[in-house]
Amino acid sequence: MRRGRLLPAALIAGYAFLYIPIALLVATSFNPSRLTTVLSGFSLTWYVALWHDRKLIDAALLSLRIAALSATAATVLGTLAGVALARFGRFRARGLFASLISARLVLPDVLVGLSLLLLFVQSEQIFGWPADRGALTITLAHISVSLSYVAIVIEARLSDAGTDLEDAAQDLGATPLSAFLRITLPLLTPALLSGWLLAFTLSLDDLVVATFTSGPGASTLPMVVFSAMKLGITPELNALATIILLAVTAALGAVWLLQRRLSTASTLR
Amino acid sequence: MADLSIQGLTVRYGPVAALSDLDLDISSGELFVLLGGSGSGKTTLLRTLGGFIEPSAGRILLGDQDITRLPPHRRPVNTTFQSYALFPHMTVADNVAFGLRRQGVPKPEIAQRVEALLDLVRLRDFAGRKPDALSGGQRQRVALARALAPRPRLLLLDEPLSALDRSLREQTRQELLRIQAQTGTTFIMVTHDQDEALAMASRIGLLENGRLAQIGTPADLYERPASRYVAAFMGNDNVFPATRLAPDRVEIDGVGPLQTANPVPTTPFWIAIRPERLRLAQADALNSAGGTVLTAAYFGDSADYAVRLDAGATLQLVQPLSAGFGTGLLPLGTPVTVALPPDALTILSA
Amino acid sequence: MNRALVLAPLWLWLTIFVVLPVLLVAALSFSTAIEAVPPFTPLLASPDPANYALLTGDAYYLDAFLKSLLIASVSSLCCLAIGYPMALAIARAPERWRSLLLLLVMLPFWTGFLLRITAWIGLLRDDGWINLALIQFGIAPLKLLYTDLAMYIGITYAYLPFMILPLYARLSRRDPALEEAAADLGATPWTIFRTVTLPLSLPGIVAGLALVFIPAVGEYVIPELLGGPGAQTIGRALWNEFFANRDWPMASAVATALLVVLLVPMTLLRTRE
Repeated sequence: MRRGRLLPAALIAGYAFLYIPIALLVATSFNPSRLTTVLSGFSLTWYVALWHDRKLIDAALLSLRIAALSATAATVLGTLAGVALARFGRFRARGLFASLISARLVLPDVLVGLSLLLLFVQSEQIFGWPADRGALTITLAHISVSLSYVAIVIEARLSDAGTDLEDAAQDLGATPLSAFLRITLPLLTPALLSGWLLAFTLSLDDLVVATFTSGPGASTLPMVVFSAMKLGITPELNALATIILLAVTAALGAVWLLQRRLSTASTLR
Repeated sequence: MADLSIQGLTVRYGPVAALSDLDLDISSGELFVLLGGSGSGKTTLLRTLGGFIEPSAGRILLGDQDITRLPPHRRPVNTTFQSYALFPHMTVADNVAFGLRRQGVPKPEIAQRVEALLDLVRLRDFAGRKPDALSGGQRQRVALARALAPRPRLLLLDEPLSALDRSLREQTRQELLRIQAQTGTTFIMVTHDQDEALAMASRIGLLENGRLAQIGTPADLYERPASRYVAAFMGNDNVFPATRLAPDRVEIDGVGPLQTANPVPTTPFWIAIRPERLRLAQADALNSAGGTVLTAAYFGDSADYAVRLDAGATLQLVQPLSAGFGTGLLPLGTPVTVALPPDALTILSA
Repeated sequence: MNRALVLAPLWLWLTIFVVLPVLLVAALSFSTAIEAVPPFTPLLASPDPANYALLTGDAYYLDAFLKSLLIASVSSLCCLAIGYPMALAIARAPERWRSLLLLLVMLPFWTGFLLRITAWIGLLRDDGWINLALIQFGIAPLKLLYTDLAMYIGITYAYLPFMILPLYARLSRRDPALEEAAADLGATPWTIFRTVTLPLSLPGIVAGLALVFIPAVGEYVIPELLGGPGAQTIGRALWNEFFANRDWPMASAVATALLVVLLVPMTLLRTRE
């Protein structure tokens, strides 16, 4: 059923909406002039400035560390939660469990940030830990948020795939745990990867929760960028954006190719 | 001695009983077929035997061992799944070896047994392939080899032929029979296809709404159905209520008075007549009734007719078509006489 | 049994990191701000609903709530208007294109939220690209940045993937035979869309709207960066109470009120599932 030209046109218009700002961003990052709307040539000055910006680089490294750690932990916990939701049938208080996990997906950042900060503050009052908020508390906060996203991705994949393969494994003598490790997990690999990437990006990108749960000396990249933006946009930020764009495109391209390889046969069908 | 004994098996989902108080004994080496429509409980029974469903009541005994509460990975029972459920990330050989590895069989023996099994299902050259490189029929055979590898006491087959096209089905059917004979394993097979059941089973258990409507040999179910449900399921539409006239005479409403070869009960009963037992005859033949051809369908080697009798009822007939019986299809409206042989009248309880 | 081992740590985590924090926020809303570390009277020591009196009494907060609800509603609808055709187009595209098309939808999302906002600032500024183009065409420049319009654009832009994905998930599951059957029975493309495609995609629409609306109500960053000083959303109000006024209890009261307001759409979403 073809709807003629209408839909493809809408799709292209949508992509234009999404990408024109990004294209302009990239273009101005190479612009030697500070005036971002006058393209006077091609230059890498802003990239050089970026390279020398200690504060930004440190913040970027910190953000990457936090993102990698929280993504990994969130993937582990989120996978367990997703498995529980998809495979444990009607366990006690399942409804509440599912609500708590999906609630995180929709709560506004400010709410999440404030609530977690209070948790850390009260914990410090009562237990003396954490003594100082910083990278650790941000990481814990990010794990808490990303967990839900991973759980949903894994749960969807497992529900779709059905239990046949796991039943077959058990039928042939594998214990439920063995069946999970040997059959389910390997075939979940694409979903685990997307879950991890999702968690990684959410962490890298997060401003509000990080600001609430951070402490002196721990400035993440978004925090530094945000304060810089309040002072005025410099093309240095555009250069940073371009670099991130390139890195992400490369990573996603690699993942996509990998998925293509894997999914020609051996994924959880 | 029965190899498998099912006693009082009940599976309940809330108020609904998928299986009600089933009793069934299956002998070693049988190819037992569980036949039934959707919702009859045949798949539930199979999955309960496999350990994937816990029964609400009853016992399952394999020889002397009570396996009722055993989880699937501890039962000496294996299953082939309707979707084959081959592990897509493993080769054919690894799939077949899976159960052996779980059993802790030493490596050289595993290699040997896998090779033997692949020979058995004639897939020797496919050992290194992945399941997605195989056709449906080949996957079916891998699933079979995989399930047979651990040498189970009992093999459960869930609709093994339903996903295959016609010619492949015939072929695979022969393969299954051959393999079963060769290994001597007890097979319990689920199908909704009565032709398949008739062709393959040593005995059939027909399920209706979670209960066994009849257990018997294919001939038992075909020629001596125990109830109207069984008769209808086995493709017999000529089922009518009847009244007793004498110990050897009955009256079928819409057909007329008929002579029977089987003793007529005094309790209420129905009569079933297989369509292929009816004959187009001359008037005045024993147990004959006149009518006209209502519908006719040509099947090459036979023709299906519906004949509307003058007395009112409609009878389904199957007439062979070959020299001597007339090779042409009777036109609609042709007046004919149908003879109902006395020994073809099967008595069914009401 | 196996399951308890998996569920126990998860329940523990959820209790500590989801349930407890929210309860703490509610409890804090009954405290008062003081000069101390931490800057509030001990929780539940002497509960005082003064913050709520202020919340309900002062028009500032009410306005902020209404503003936030308005912004979230309009942005959700914009996301729907743009996202639905895109999702439908992708769902209708040939199989091998789909993952690429989806990837292209997600790619901007992966590049970082804040930095994409800088792009829009560059576009909407008084001396930005859009005004530049307008001047070329002889039209007077418009004030686009620090307006409500800028906020709508920003939120729509940021949340678009969250609308497209659930919509696509739903639309890709549909049976094309249904639409073919409708055509066969004489329906025009528009009628088919109206009577078959649209109703069947309703759960996806609801999911998408919820995934955009609910977080957008509490949005802080975009209104702060793109909205004018008059655009006080509840997210900004909360942030200001907390960081500018150092009034944590008041911020908690705002947060609790926000949560209560959001419970309605959240439970609606849950029951629909």
